[in-house]
Amino acid sequence: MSEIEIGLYFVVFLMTLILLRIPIGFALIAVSFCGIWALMGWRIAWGSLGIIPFHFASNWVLSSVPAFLFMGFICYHAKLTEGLFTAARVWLSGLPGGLAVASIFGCGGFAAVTGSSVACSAAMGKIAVPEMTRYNYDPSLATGTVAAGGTIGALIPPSLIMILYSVMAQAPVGKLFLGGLVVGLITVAAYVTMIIIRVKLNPSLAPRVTEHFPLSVKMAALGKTAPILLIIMGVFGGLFSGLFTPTEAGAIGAFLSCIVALISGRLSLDVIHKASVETIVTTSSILVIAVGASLLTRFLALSGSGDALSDAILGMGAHPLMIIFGVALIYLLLGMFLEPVGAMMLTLPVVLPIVNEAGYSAIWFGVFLTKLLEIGMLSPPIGMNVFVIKGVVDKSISLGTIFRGVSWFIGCDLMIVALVVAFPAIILFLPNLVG
Amino acid sequence: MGTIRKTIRYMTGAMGFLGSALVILLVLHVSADVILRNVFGYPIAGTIEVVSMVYMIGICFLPLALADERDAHISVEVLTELMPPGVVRWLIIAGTALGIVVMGFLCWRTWLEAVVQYRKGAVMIVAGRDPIITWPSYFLLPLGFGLSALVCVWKIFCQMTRRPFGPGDDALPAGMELVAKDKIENV
Amino acid sequence: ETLKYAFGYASASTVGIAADDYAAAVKERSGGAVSIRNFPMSLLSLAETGPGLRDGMADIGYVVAALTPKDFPRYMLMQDLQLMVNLQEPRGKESVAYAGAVIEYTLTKCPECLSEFQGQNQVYMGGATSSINMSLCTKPVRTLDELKGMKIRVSHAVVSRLFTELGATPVSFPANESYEALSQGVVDCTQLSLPELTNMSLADVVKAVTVDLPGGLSSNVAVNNINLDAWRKLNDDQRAALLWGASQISADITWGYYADAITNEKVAADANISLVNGDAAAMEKMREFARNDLPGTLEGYKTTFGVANAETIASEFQDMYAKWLDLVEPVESRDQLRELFWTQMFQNVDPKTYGM
Ligand code: NA
Ligand code: NA
Repeated sequence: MSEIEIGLYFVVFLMTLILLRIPIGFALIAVSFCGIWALMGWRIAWGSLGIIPFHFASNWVLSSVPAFLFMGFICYHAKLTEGLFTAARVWLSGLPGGLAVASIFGCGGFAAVTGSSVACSAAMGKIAVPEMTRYNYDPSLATGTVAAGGTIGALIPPSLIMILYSVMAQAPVGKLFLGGLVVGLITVAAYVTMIIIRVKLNPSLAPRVTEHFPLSVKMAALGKTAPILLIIMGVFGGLFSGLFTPTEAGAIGAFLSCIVALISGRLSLDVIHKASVETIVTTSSILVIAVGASLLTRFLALSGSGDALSDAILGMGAHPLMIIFGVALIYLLLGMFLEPVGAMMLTLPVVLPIVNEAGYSAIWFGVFLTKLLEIGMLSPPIGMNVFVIKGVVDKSISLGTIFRGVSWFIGCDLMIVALVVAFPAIILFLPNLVG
Repeated sequence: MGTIRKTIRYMTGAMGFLGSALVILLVLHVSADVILRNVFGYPIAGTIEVVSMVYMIGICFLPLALADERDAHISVEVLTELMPPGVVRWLIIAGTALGIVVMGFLCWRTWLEAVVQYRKGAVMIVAGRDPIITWPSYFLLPLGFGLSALVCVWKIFCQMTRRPFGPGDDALPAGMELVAKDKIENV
Repeated sequence: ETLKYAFGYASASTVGIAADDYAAAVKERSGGAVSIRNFPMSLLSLAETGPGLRDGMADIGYVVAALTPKDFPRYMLMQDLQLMVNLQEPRGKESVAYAGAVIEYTLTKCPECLSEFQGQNQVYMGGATSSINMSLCTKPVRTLDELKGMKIRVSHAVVSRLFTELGATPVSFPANESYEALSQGVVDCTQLSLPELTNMSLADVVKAVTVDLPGGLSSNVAVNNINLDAWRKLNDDQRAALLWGASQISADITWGYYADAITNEKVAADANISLVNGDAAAMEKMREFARNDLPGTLEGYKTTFGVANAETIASEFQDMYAKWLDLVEPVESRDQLRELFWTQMFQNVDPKTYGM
């Protein structure tokens, strides 16, 4: 058996284990270890196990992962984000589908303080869906909106997926964030436009909210968003005026959130405890997968099967556009089943060299990949955001209803994907401009 | 049995406390560095080194057992949804068994590495101040991996004997996670 | 025999290109008996290479001594003598001379240095230097007044002390965050060598380069160390071929950075980046620091790292450097430097006994 064959067999074995519900991180570590052992002998496999976990974790850029997670959990548990939806609602109630539009804007705001799309859906779902139900919104529109709106959380910075990508691909996280910001804002615009058009064509989806809010109420609602706006402005303002780097922004964001929560009287020991414990549990479960993926990268390098795979694909002489189309298709398929961090870590060792050889910039691809992975959060059968919404809404709303509602948003997403492939400058303009 | 369960919970609780403390320290330390640098032109030398070599190691590895306890490790459920629960239960047990092996090996190997680093008294150079000692960080790895392996051993015992496992007295019998599909917290 | 060479740089980088030539040189010299398979970044990161080479994950590795200073204190000491290059009138090839001095001193005058590498289960096979370090800034920095309160990213402890002495505020974060930090104004300058204008695309954000501050360079790398067990398994001819290759890659990387620095002077001109010099007062203060700081540095090596003969190493190394300043004077090309490294140093290493 050649080294490349050994590599491919072990990859197949790895996929089998993962499909059999073995935790992804354990499977990655075990298979990569055995693979290196089979290829290079015990000593080298044993050596790698001692070196890689420490060096992977002791990473300055990676330190923004717990920091940004902590910031999001503090904002969530201290209920700093609640005013967002109310304000959007009071100001936008006149629009067709005003509540749904308000939910999207609420998600956009929440996205600026959280790195994860699931957190974004869960937070907005609890507030916005009951409100929409109260006004007899179509359940599939109401739930679909919040499930899809959550994906903005991973696009608008901060973004966990982009931080992890930046570590794996050695791409500057600040540039990724800027590209993500643009695609996140485009997504907000596309979702809002789609909702308004749908409701215009079929007003029964979202009965018009008749309440009229006097200016004083509107201003008061705006005032309620002050805490979260303060945090967002503090982080983005400090970032762009050069007070700190993107890596430091996580800690500053978390610190600001605690201060704001303290001033508004919502910081308790319980909030800090919940937020910090959720932060470390999430961080260490991501880390196990990341260490495994890092081991897999070495195994693929040693066996040469990663190179062989990318050479085979590149050797077909496909046009770069065909390659990116194929990559997108693969991620859409994987996204149906896999969780995004796992899907990304599993595939990057093979996909990155291919994309790189095909001439795509690492920044562009990182943002593009995030968008693709987020579509996976919505697509059946395993759509984490959909499950989360299912968990927080009335039991009478079925999974099928939510998936149906989400399908319109996936349509928008696919158009955005096509758009950024056709015009890469959409993603790259801002990062190239600012640096 | 009660004693074991209590001991495990005590240990994971302690790791959770340490990990949480490190997250808060990380936030305060980096913020202080940024503030002092911008306001007083006086950065804290060695912030990056301490964050990556001390805080990050603690935050990443100490809470591993907590992640086991809370079933926070990510797995793919697409095929198992179609399988009979009896089969799935054994697959879940197999996953835990692999966890014991993986975490056990990592504990053993990183312990040996920690001893090597301790013997030579590993340090790291820091711009603007004396070198910082790095070898103690290496011991956080076997600690985290070891506890995680222990929790997995207890977990597999609970799964085989269908005992409740995890925090809270209303915890589901281990290996029955499939029943609780809408139990999605911690995301 | 196929040996795996791990280096934490991209294949298109200066190191990557030198690595390809190295593999070819060893193959040719050994008549095909030794071939080298290169792993740019994919097998071991820079930080992992030391322990990875120790454990045999790679057979050959690009080791950065500064990452584990306690493993290689004497090699690190030579790095910390770097400010000596500021003490004479510039002759242009200081970095090339420094590389030669480090390698020859290690190979011939410092058996403890070689034992330090063997203690990490590897054989020392030569080093390389960056070109001279400069301040890459977003505004011209020439005078003590302009240095006052200026935030500069530094990578060496001694340089950090130097800038504090000059009234600036040294900040530390990874070199590869320089682009963002400069473009956003987190720092005013970053301490790096001129080739980073293109390597890290810093030409987009840098507006002025102070070419003689801080001076000094990085010399703490061992560019093609070989795992001790792998080394001892080879026969004399194979080891000889690897020594030949070592002379080539050490010369290539050193000359590569030196030549890149010259190319980047043109890059700077094209990008309207002004190359400025520190004024007399700033330069004098810098030299004064370089002289006054040395005793403290040597004392630190005695107490922290247990290098009892720190003073001896420092003075012997100074002589070696002076000798190499003259040796590299006539060198005008990479091939001439290869030749010089081979005849002056590696040719004299006995493949039958070295590292055995
Ligand atoms: Na976000
Ligand atoms: Na999906």
